[in-house]
Amino acid sequence: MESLRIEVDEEFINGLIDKVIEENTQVQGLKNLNVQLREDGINFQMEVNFLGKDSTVESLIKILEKPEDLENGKLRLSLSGDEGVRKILEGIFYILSEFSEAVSSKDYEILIDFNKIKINPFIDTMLKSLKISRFVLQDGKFELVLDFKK
Amino acid sequence: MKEILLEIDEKAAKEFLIKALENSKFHFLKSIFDHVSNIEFSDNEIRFKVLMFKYYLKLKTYPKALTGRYEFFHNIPAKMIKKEELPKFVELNDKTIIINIPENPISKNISIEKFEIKNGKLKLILGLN
Repeated sequence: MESLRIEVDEEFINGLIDKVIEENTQVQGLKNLNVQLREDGINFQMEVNFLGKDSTVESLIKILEKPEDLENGKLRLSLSGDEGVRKILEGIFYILSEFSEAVSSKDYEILIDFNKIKINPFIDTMLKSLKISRFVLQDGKFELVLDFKK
Repeated sequence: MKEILLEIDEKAAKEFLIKALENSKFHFLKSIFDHVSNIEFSDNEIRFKVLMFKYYLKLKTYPKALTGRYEFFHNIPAKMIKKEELPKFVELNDKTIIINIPENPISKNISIEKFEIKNGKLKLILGLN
């Protein structure tokens, strides 16, 4: 086995988000952002204060297609949940798509095409030499195992 | 558990190094690692053989946060390596090598809970400050 293994749990992500939001007072109105890693995708819960009113909004990002390698693989996501959050998330991906050809969004579906990712020649070549052997969201954990291509 | 686990095994580390150096400007390191026969992770040491020479990097200290100063003891012939061929964040002395990773707003919140090199694996467990 030749592998690089990364495991992230949702408590870590949530703790980090809390700290970054706490320190960054520029994110006005956003009181809490909670992420759940579930088998069917990533669930976002946001507590927002908009025009003096507190509300909780929720959205689920479903994974429709997982990439098999980082050279030609594709990650396809679908956004569901509250209309408002869906629009915000789609907006974020839309902004990303302006910067990178690798990201495109249409009708609440997001496509990340690894073939089109261009960061810098060094990182690109490194990414191309990796194969994904495990990509799992389960029990509050994200697990990724990468293998080097021979 | 508030954690991130990163784990890499010996073979993947070797492939990674070879691929990384293939694409780098570090001619001397490239010529060394073209001849690396294997990389071993054990007892907090990274050992590697180049032709008939055996080299090691032994973990001395690592920072509390993810970014900062990592220090290793080594027996690599420092004089043979051109300083300008090394990346800016690496400082190579006769007996030690220091890797200084600059801080950024996200990484300063991330702590290193465990950093160990043993039983064929390099393992890094990250937590929150």
